[in-house]
Amino acid sequence: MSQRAKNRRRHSDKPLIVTPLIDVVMVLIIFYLMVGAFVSGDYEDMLLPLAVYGDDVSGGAVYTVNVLTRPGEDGVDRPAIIVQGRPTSVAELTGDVRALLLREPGTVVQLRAARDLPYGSVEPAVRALAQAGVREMRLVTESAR
Amino acid sequence: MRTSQRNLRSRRRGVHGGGPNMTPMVDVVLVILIFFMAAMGLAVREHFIRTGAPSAAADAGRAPGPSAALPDDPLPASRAVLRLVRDDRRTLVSGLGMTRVGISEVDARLQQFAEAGAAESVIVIVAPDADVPYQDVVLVHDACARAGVANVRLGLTPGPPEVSPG
Repeated sequence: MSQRAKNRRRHSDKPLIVTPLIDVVMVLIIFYLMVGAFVSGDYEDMLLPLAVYGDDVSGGAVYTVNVLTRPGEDGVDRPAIIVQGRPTSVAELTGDVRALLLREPGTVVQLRAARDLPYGSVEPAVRALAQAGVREMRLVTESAR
Repeated sequence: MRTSQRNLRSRRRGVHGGGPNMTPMVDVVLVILIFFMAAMGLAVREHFIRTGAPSAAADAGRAPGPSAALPDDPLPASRAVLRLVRDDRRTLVSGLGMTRVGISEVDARLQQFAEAGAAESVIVIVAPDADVPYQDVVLVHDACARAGVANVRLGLTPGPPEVSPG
């Protein structure tokens, strides 16, 4: 038997240790699941208004409109409407929601706005939703219970 | 000779009872489980309160009159407006028999309103001024929801004039 064939046989005899591979793959899967859940576009980190009453936000199909302060091009914080991770103008929001309601009339619309904003900064989004034909919406709150 | 070869093979595998060594995997899975349990405890619990969008009339910048019905409303409904204004870093509420009272007093008045049986028949419009913190707008919605007011709507600035129920 040649030396090469002997070496091959010696290598094939060694058991394959898969445990580290499984460890690493599982950690990666869980990491990506977590990142996917947090960076799902609809999620914007902000302090939500506190409320005692409220139903649990479930993971159903909803259209989320975020209103929060973001630094503008000049570095000054300004209220911004964020939908699916990107800033949206009032006119764009109206058009998008109107088209969405035509496509899927039962869509639930929810408003996530920062608690420290004045209502005057939230109102353009409310007005846009009303103009788009939304009759009822959800105000997302943080449970104070 | 054969027995010693078998023993050597089994030692190479590092297995005595057969099967892979699960201990490191169980270790990692337990650490991840504990991490998620801790993270769930720290996560903010999000809830929601239902509210109606402003009416078409208010949306067009006009204040709805006493009998102004929404286009889809089958019957003109009675409306009560809770007007929220900002005064000296406090939010004051007027409407439903209240005149410039603090938000903490709204609860009691809304309970009386509900006990009078008006909570389901009257549309309550929460009409805040532009400088009222959004937190206070939600607190008034919260009070309405706790009192069992079935139909709460957001108003637009400037708020429509108060309309007595009934």
